[in-house]
Amino acid sequence: MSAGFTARPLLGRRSATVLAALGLGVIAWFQLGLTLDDLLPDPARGATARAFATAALHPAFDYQGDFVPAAAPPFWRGVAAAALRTVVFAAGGMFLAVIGGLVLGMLASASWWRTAGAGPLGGRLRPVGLVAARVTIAGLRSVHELLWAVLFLAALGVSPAAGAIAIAIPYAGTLAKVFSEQVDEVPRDASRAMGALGAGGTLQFTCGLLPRAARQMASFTFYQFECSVRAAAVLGFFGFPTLGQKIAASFANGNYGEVWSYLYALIALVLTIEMWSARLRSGRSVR
Amino acid sequence: MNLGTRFELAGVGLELGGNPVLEGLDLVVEPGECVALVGPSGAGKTSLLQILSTGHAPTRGRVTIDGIDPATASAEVLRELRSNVGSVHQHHALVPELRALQNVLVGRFGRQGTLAGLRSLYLPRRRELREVHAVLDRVGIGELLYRPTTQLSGGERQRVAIARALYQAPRALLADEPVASVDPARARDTIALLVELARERGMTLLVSLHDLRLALDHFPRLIGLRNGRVEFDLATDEVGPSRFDDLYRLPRTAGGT
Repeated sequence: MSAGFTARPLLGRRSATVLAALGLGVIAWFQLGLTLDDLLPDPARGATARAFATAALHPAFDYQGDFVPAAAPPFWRGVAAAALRTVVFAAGGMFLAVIGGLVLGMLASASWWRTAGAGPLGGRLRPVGLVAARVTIAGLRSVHELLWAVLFLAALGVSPAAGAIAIAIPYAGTLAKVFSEQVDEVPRDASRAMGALGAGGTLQFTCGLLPRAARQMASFTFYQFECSVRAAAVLGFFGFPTLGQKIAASFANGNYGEVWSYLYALIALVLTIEMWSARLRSGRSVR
Repeated sequence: MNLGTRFELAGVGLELGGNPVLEGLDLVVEPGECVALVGPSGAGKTSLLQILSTGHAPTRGRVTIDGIDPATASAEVLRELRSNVGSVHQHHALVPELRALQNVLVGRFGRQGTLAGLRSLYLPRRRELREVHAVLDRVGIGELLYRPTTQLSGGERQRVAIARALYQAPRALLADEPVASVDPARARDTIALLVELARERGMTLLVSLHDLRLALDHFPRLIGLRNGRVEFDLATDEVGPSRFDDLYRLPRTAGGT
């Protein structure tokens, strides 16, 4: 068409934000006084570092210490038991986290309030409910699981519940945030069509929106499970009987071969979960 | 047999986001009538169908569906009204993650509570399966009953969408550009099927169309919309070619070739 046009810049606020973020990174680097020399260990520690690194090629298949109690189980059983307890801690935490994540995620999603939460009562509660849910979620997420673990250790001592709840709280927050976003991003045409033929709000939500987000939600839950296994392992450093406890003990005694055996067990766990979730994502094991 | 729905619009106007979309619409569609809505893009066809399916409330004037004004109806009455008006959407509006039969079962959600709806979707009874199979068979894809919707072709999905509307057992069927994205042969089949089903079940049928040939061949009554107003409302044999030229003539300022 013949009408004139005004030239507009194509690089706008977003490019400026990216540049600012990069700039912050550079400033932080100088603030910390980081130099590449720091990456080379000083000679005194060099020997330890070398010993630890070479042990990676020689993981222990039996106890390395001199004083092994006669009643101790075979080494491999100790590794297996610690790995299993790590998974049990993670699974216990995730079980609570998924329930909390689903409930809070619904309350924090605009589409839940538009469908299932609609109605005279929901309409009045919505402005408060949506904000309250999102603030709660932010609160749960802003404290790391290890900090929760320290708090619960002080309150409950080294109990299985303390470990599981420490994992459950921040993971519930993260799951809720991501669930709510995933449900809100799903196409709404089918749920609207259900409303047009008279379906109630809960049916619109559970049958028109949830199934469309289900695979992504499951995939993210698996990823979080993987993270929680790592978190459960680290809880061992605080005295919970997971892989981390074994690692700490072996490391303190200089039995680096044992440390690597435990680390390989942890890697095997994470890989197993990854393979399982990959199968789920590809849809082969669905239905 | 269903008895068709009667739609009546009196002085209906609609504004969306401050822009006038429909103005001064006075229309009556009698029970069991088959009507084609024609007109260029942006004429207001979709908005008119949205008003008839209670998706939009008119900004001015009054719409009544079987004598009931949805604007003043109670929640229960509105729900009942909606369960009696079926829609076929251009992009089908199915849930791709569900199977063909589950998308059809959705058709009866308007008459079911939450638990009954969930039960029927995941644990359908034999009687429900038989009924769903019958409607899928009627639209020619009975063998696809258990097929995941993602594995269906565009034409098959459209048939599932029509089957959903049939299973709903509505008294009126509204279709917004149902054939805008299919090839001409399939478009003809689909329109013929919609008209046949409406006649068979006594449903009132309103279809918005771009294709004038299809409108002339299949519908006894044509309503031409342009710029949100009714340009003509005539029996098909009264519509001359000049009517269409006027309806689709481009505004001069747009400078067609």
